[in-house]
Amino acid sequence: MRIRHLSISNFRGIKELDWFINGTNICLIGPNNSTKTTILDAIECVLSPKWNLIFSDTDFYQLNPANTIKIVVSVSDIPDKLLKIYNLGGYIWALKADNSFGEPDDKTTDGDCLLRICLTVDRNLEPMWEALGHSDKTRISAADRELLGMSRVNTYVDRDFSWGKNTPLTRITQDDATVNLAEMGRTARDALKTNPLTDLDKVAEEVEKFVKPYGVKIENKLRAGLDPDSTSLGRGNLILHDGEIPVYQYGLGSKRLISIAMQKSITKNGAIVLIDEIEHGLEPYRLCQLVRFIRPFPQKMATNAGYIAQTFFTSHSVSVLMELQVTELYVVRSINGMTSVKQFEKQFQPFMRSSPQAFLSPRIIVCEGPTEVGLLRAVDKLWIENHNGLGMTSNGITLIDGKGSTMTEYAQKLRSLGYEVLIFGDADTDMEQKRDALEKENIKVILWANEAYTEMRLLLDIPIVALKNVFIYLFMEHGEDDLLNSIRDKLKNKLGNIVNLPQPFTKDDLFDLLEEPDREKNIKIREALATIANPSKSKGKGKGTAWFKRTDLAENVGDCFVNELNQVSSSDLAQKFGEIEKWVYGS
Amino acid sequence: MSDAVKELLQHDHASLVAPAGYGKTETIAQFVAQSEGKQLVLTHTHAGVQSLAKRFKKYSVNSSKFELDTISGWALRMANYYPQSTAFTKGIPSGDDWPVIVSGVANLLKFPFIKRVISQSYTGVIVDEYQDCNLGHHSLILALAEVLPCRVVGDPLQGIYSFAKGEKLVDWDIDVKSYFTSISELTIPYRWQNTNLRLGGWLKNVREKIYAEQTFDLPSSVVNHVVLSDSSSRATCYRLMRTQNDTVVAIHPELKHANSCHTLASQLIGNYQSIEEVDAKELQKHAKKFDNATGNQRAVVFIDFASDCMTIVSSELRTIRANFENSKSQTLVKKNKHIIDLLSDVAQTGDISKIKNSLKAMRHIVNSKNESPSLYRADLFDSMMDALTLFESGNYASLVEAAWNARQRQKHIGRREYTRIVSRTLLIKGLEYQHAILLDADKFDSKNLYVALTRGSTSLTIISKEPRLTPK
Repeated sequence: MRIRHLSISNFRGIKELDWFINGTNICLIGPNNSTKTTILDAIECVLSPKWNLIFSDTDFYQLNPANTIKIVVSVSDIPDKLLKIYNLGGYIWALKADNSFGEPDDKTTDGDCLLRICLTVDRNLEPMWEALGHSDKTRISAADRELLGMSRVNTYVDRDFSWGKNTPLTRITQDDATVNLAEMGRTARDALKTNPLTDLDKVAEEVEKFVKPYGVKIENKLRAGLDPDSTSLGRGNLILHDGEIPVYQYGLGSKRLISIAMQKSITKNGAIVLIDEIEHGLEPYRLCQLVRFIRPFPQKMATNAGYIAQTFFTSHSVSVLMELQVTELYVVRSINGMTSVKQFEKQFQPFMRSSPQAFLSPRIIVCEGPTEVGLLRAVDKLWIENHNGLGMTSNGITLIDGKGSTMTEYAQKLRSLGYEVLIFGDADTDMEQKRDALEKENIKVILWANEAYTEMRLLLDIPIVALKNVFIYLFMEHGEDDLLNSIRDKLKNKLGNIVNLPQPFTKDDLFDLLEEPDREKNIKIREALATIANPSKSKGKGKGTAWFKRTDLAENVGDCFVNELNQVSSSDLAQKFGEIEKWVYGS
Repeated sequence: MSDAVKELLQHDHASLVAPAGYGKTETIAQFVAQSEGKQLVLTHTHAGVQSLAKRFKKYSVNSSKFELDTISGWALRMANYYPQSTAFTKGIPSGDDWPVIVSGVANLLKFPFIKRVISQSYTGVIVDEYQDCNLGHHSLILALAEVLPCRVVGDPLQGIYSFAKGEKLVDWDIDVKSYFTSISELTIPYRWQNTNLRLGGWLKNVREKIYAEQTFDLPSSVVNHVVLSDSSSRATCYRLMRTQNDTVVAIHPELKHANSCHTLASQLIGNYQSIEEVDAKELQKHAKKFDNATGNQRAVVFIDFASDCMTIVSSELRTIRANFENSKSQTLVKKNKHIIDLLSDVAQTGDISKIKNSLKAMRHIVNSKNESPSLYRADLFDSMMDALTLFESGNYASLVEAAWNARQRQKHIGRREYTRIVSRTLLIKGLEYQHAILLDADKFDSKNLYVALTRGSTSLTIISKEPRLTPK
């Protein structure tokens, strides 16, 4: 089974959702209260094999039971048993090329045949499950819903480890017709003499095989045993043990892993697995393993131990993201109950490795390059001090490197996915032309004045004391003599006729140049230094390496001057940082 | 297991000729019981469905082994599932719709998705009374046969359905034999084995005579021959009532119109029931009149309806009806005041429970000879009561719709059974009675004659001018 479309009306925080789903491994991300979990809950309610789901007024949008809850899940890869004409074979839909639903026809392939299962709950709070048809609808039984193979991996999984009613363990056991569970229960009651549970031990052994690849360490050997905590005797109290230890005493992560492994093993038609906060209780290495294991694969690769056809999970974990393709990320947004789910495009893949945390933040600053990223990291430290310890992170912001020319495209795509976006970069004619369009999309655009680039802005605006510190840092980084020699050579080339460049050229000579009293000359010197700092900006593409075009270098540079910015508050440098600060703190 | 069952199991696409009374239904039941998985069992009439259902029950064929329906009923279900593909807009199908539905479903069956559905649903299809398939049905079955193993069973000599719109029936020798492997005919006349062996043997000969269009005698050792006269029908029917609880069918040669049957049943004052065809056109007719009626007309509709179902009402309530019809005062009428009261309520309010009460009340009026009405079309009367009950539930937009659904329900729960009936061949084909009476036997054509002759298992009474019959 695979969900191809989901629509939700009036369920909890969701007034409307209409989502065409084209993936199989679906990681829902989005800020808190973006209704991610509600989406999982909605799917669970529709596909749940429980006949007695309990609803209350709090399940209605805005707690108003007048708004009937209606959730429709359209699934493909229908189990043969449901396809029978006297079951749901008369209720098959096709997903048409124009994303509409209609009767299947000559061209409809098996993969595009859908069942549309609708759950409605009105003010009577009685849930009703129906398969939608082309001229009527029909009730769909709990037993048939069980065939849909949905399993929700819960935080509370302890029951999964018992042979109680409808547990995965029981279902694994029932595949083996030779095991009589009722008899086992009685056997248990008959006092568990020497070794009376051999049949169940066989099942436990099987389970051990399923769970091993998930990185669960079985200390001893899985076996059946009576719950040491139980006061009554019955099959529900027969539970899975690892040696003498009941499995439910395992850590949360292991329990979830075992539970998922068992669920998967019982779903021959391809399970739909739902997991909320997949990272819950797992160390990164086991988490990665889990993410890999729940990744669905095509039916033809299915083994006897069942397979997963589609996974929906929510996550706030960078470790999870790093295991995923970016197209497996779906960002959930909810504005006034209107929930949308949008899939990331392939082009964001590079950020999955470099800045995965960005996808998990509501706000993103797209920087032109590593220099800008580093500078903002430095200035963030100042802001944290000035804003009672709250910095960009506290305001839900992540910085990403827009890699120059692609910066605006990234910004626009991220904006369309619902992120708040600020662009921070060099000013040039191209960017200035785009500014209007970007601002129309509610993207904040911060560019240096007068089409300056960042190194230029820094060299022109940083107060002298701080600027000297910047150079002292750069000497440390690049070697004082090397850097000074290179500066002298290049300055000679550029300004040989107007400035005095002694040989040897010392640190103090450089500082003298920086303090050149003639304003016009001083500006020329600093401009020339800027082109040396970033050779790619000089006319005819200068040679040499940029001084701090690396996040860490730029951050260190930033550290040298951010505390002195108040001395030059009217400078463009201070002004623009001020504007960014305002945006960060939402004023 | 009989040879026929074995052969059916062996051949994926087989046809079997089964003369009437030769254990055809048993053969189908055993085939279904022996075959793997679930068979789709189709036939033409609801009577046929019920007779198969009965036989399946008798042989304890597990209900998971078959799905039983009429070809039209099954097609209608498919058409309702996929109205666009079959070009059938949902509603109550009328006569003209059926060919559209059947060909629409034949077309639907070409789609890959539905082929998968069908092959998942059934392991095979077996069609009874195949001789009654028209070419539309035939192409629907051939479409099914593309997906499923398919067996057809029937008797070319019993192809009595005549179709108004020039739809041709399958030609057994051409259409059936070209697609299905013919397996050996059934040869043992089971129907008569325990009841009247001699009759069974005689009918076997007669079958050959009819095939060969040869005149045949009515030997008194086998057949009760009665010479046709004005009173012979009634007298014979009364005489056969002496068999007490035995089932008796009096078969009228009339093909299309049932009036002669109703008249005879009326003359027999309810001792024989005249039954309705499946869609009960008369029920629809009265229901439609009611739907269109207002005020007093509503009372008139139900006096007319009751008059069609039972004796005495028509004459006894003539004045009351005329007064309603002409909106005249009923104060001068002395008798049946309670009927007037009830019907006045009906006229004013159209209240359904009042209609039911007035129909019930009409059954118990008495005439000057202290006689009460005899119900001779109980099938029609009871169906109207069912329809009114459904309509009362408020789930139907009109009485016509409720009436249609009332008849649909009967398809599933089975037709009401009456011990003695007067009928045309069409309504009793495939059914078995203990005693059969052929009224005016000279008038049957050869196929209808064969069907009529083979209905009775214990005795056969033939009323005719001549002591021999000539197939035509």
